[in-house]
Order: sequence, then structure tokens, then C-alpha cells
Amino acid sequence: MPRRKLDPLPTAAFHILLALAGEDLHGYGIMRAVAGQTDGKVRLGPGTLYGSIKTLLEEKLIEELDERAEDVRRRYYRLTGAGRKLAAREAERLAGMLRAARAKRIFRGAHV
Amino acid sequence: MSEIIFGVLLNLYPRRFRDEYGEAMERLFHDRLRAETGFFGRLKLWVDLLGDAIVSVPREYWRRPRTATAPVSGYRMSEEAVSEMAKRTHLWEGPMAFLWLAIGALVGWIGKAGARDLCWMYAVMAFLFAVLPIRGLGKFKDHWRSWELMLGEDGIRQVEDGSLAVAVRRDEVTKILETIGMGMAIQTSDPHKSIWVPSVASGYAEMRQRLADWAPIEEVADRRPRGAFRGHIAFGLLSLYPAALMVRAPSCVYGLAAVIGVFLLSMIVTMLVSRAPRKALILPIVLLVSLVGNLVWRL
Repeated sequence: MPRRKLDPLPTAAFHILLALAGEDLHGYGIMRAVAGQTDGKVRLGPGTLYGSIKTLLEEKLIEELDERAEDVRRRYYRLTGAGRKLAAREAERLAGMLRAARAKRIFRGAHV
Repeated sequence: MSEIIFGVLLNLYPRRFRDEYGEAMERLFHDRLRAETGFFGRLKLWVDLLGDAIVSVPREYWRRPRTATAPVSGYRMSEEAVSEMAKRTHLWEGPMAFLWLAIGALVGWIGKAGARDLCWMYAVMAFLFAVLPIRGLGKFKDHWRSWELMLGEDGIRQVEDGSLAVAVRRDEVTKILETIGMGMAIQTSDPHKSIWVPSVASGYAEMRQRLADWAPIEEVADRRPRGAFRGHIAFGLLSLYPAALMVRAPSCVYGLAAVIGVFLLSMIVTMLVSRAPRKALILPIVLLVSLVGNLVWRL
């Protein structure tokens, strides 16, 4: 069976799915949302952002909205049902890893 | 100035990606340019952009084209047909290039006065001749796997890598040239708007029968041997250059370099005039630059 492009889900793609879980956004909006949800630690560059968007569109995890804003160069994207399910699955996988890390007591300070 | 630099960065991406997302990326860049001001803001922006380009440009070139999995109504290439096409082109050229390089190395080794001269030249050439055809073979196969022809009553459409590449209306077709055992070229009055159908494509005979109603099918001779011969002459010349460097005979080196330089230059000009894809220009330009650089270094 051919390997899927998003197996495992790249970090940038997961961040974009999370950003779109709240509302429909355009490229710059997604970039800001990702920066916001990572305390400014992850800032997606245009190549990574639109490369990931292209892959997510191909896999039908997000969709492009037909209506455009006042600036035709702004393209808005929306999370699909499949995208939401995949994001939830990835979040559960990460939560499982977090539980395992906590059980091993490798955290220090506020994370414990 | 910022726009110009970003334009250069944008130009590094593959054309198909640029066509699809170039405008949106420019929009994003302008948004960031407005928001991130001050010396450190701008510095951070450019560090981000350059770092992003270093990672994402190669990734876009290596992106595998999406192949359709839905049932198709057109003509496609089976896996056997794709392998057959690959055999006809890449698998022949790769070993021949290596053979020429091996002959060049042997000649140089036999006649050497000291083999310490410019090993990097060999390294660059070996890399280009070895890695690029291997990479090219994968892309070639992916391209033909995603190739599809949709033949309707009033026109024919060629789909490549999941998107429409060429659409030709029935009334635009001026002639159809068939090379027996190779395939047929559906031509229009515009030389850049034609469709090539390999004979190994599924349903080729049926397609040929349908297309015969559109325009007379003219059979032409296979011109491959001449093209292949010219290619091998080029490989031969290139392989003798490092050999000439090893025997340290300046007149031989400069004469050969001049012949190769003229050959490469004519190849580049021909490609530019015929509007060949930019990627096809990379190899001759790299070879020409390394040749000139090498000569300048020696002088």
C-alpha cells in the first residue's frame, strides 16, 4: 500500500489544522494563529505554509472557500470533517505521549 | 528593494507551485512587511524567509505529483507501459554516460603525468551524470503515471500531475504525425500546443481510430538514432575533458574546452529559443560555468 503524504502528520500541518479548528482563515491569519497558539515559537514561512496547505488540500483535510475578501489575492481555508478527525487523532496521540512522559517523571517545574 | 529580493526567492520555487500560490505568498509577505518593522523586526523577517526558502524550495521540487485514484474515463498508462517508456529513455542514457566517463578516466589514467589535477571536476560531473538521471527517472515515472488523456467528441485534454496541461479543440488539429512503435503527435498551428500520445498508452489503437476522423494520420520515420548519436558525441567530448586535464597537455585542454564550450553554448541557446523548461537548462549551464571557472582558474 502506498505511504500517505501525511502519515505521520507533520508539525506544520497539525498547527494549520488546529488554527483552522476555530475559524476560517487566510494565509496570514493562519500564520498569526499558529504563532499565537505556540507563544510565538512557530512562525510558518510562506513556502512551508502554502506547501502544507497544498498537501492538506490534496488530502481533502481542508478546503478553499469560494468567496474571496476585498483583496482577491487572499484565499480563505476551512477545516473539513476529515481534517477535524485527523487533528483530534493527532492530539490524542500527543496526549498519550505526554501521559507517558509524565509517568516517567521527566518533567520539571510547572509542567508536572 | 524588499519586493525584488522576495521576487528572487519566489522564483526559486517550481513554476507550477508559483502559479498556484505565488500571489498568495506575495500577499503574506506584504502583510508581514507591514507588521514587522524596525531593524530587529525586519532582520527576523528575512531570517525567517531565507530559512523557510532553504527548507521549502527543495521540498517543492521533490514533491511527488498527486496521482488520481478515482475511476478514470480517459486513456492512461499502465505500470508496465511506464516502465517501458522509462527503459526507452533513462535506462539507456544513464549507463552510456557512465561508460563514456569510465573511458575518459581510463584514457587519463593511462596517459597521466600525475593524477592530482582537479578531482572535483570529476566529482561534479559524476554527481550530475549519476544523481540527476536517477532523480529524473523517478520524476519521469511519476509524470507518466499521472498522465491522462480525455478524448471527447469536440476536443482532447491532457492531464498531467493532477491538473490540465493542454486542451486542444477538434477544429484546431492541423495534422497528426505517427512514429511507428513510438506514438503520435497531435499538432495544431501553434507549435507549443500539441499533444504526444505514446504507443504504449492504454487503448492506443482505439484512440488512433477515433483521431483518424479528426485529421489524416501521417506516418513519419523514427528520428531517435540521430538524436541519440548527438547525445553520445556530447558525452564523449565531456568525458575526454578530465582525461585531457590529467595528461596535462595545455593545447589539448584548451582546444577541447573550446569545442565543449561552443557545444554547450549552442545547446543553451537552442533550448532558450525553443522555450525548453527552465529545469532542462540547469545541467548545460552548470557544466558551462564549471568549464569556464576551471579554465579561468588554470590561467
